[in-house]
Amino acid sequence: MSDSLIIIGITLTYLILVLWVGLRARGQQSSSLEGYVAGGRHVGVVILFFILGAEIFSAFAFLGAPGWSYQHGAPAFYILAYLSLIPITIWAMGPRVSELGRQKGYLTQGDMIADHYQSKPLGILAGVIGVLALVPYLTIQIAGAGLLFQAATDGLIPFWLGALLAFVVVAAYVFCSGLNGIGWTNLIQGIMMISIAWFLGLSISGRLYGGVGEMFSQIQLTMPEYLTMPGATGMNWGYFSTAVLVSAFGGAMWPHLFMKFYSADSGKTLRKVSVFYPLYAYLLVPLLFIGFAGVLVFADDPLTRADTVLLRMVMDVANFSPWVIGLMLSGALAAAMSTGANLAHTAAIVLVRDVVGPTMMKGASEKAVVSATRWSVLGLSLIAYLFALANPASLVLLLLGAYGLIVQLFPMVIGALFMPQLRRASVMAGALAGSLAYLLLEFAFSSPLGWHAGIWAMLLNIGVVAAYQWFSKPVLTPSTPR
Amino acid sequence: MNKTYHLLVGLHFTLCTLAMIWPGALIANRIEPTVLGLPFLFFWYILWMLVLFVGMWVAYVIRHGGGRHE
Repeated sequence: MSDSLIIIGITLTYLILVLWVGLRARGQQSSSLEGYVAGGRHVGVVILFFILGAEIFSAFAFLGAPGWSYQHGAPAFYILAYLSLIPITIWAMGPRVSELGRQKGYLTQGDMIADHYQSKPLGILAGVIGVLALVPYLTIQIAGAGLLFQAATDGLIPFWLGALLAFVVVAAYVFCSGLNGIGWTNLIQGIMMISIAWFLGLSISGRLYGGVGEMFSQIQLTMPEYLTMPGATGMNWGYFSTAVLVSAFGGAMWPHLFMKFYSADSGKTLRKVSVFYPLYAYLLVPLLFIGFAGVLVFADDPLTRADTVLLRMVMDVANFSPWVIGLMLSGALAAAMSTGANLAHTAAIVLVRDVVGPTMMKGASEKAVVSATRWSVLGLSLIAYLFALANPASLVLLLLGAYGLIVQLFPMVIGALFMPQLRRASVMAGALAGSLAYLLLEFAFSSPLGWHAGIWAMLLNIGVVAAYQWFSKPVLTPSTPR
Repeated sequence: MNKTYHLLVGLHFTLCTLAMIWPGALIANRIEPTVLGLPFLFFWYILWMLVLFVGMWVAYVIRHGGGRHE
């Protein structure tokens, strides 16, 4: 009981610290829309690095990555691969997005798409897909926070209360401070989770096996199938490779990543951030150690939920003091909250600017739009919270599912950035065909060759765009605003 | 210069991507030799993350300059 109180005490202290920093970051910029959404387009290298890194380093990374290495073994390297490949898209498209945003005042993907293709419905479609993908992702973060609280306090703080606590804090500073709040809190949360992850990874393998090398030699002796592909569960190379490609190159299509391109103070800043980005993937390495450590520990009595392996190891196996468990909980909450803050912020902006703005709020003043965005932060967080209470599905599957849908914006965005010859009708048909194919393959039929459904949907998407371009010659000269 | 630069950056990106998925990762799909205590396949990913980083850093310095000291 007193142990639980120490854990709760440390964690609440941490939550209060984050809240304080987040509210203090309010500054003078957040009253304008550009300030609230994009930090006035003046965000520099260090803050941008932590914003972009922390939003990828989510509850999924903290719980799901050790879960994967525990359950599958080597296929967990998928996470290292896709995280370190994401900067390729940042490098290639970030500076162009940032430049266009500065010239034309874009703040969302929908802005750019609607303006480039001279079509409001297309912007609305992009917005709807965006919100549909962001809300499940936010749900994952909230569910992660609840699960963590419940497990680390032995149920003293139940799932619903833990999830609520973490997300009230996040919603409060996002509501008040916008992107500035996210930037400064992510700096703290980033440092917090990096140090906790490395500490736990090294000390768990040290305590149980006497070191990382010894741990792997013992796994090699008894269960070598965990250390190479196809892993313990027989994941084929086709699925592995296509999942990496979808996650890595679809990653930059995520509105919460894409929209940060607008906040950079220059294209050069984005290039610099992308250079250092692969280093963020190194933070996951110790978390994979924890999962591998669990392979032998739970060999006779497997866990029913793989994504609880980190918690079980820290709490039941390694016998850490309640102080360490409290820090572990804070670090893991940091991962969930920093990503959640970005997601709630982005989902609200996309909803208001791309979906509600051109329909129900035509001609509204900037002040009204900022205020609607703020309230949407609270509304969408609440919806995601209710989803989290209802649906405890596996974290990774939800994440992969949501990623697949958003990737379908790819040809549309490439067209707006680099290929002005792509026409509105073709990219629209492609995105619709791709999204439909993705949903069918993911939820109704099984995907051919066992590949990730997102790849098939993308191939169909590109195929439809190409066919449309080829067969329907433009009747009028296409309007391509420069 | 400009064309060569983009070609080389593109090649670097393609190489790093293929090294981490099929077929590149096939050649590293074994446990021995262990490096730094890690099974070879694990080390392979750690290695390519570093290669990607170094390549991008070089590309950045060539294009955007290395700051005041260079």
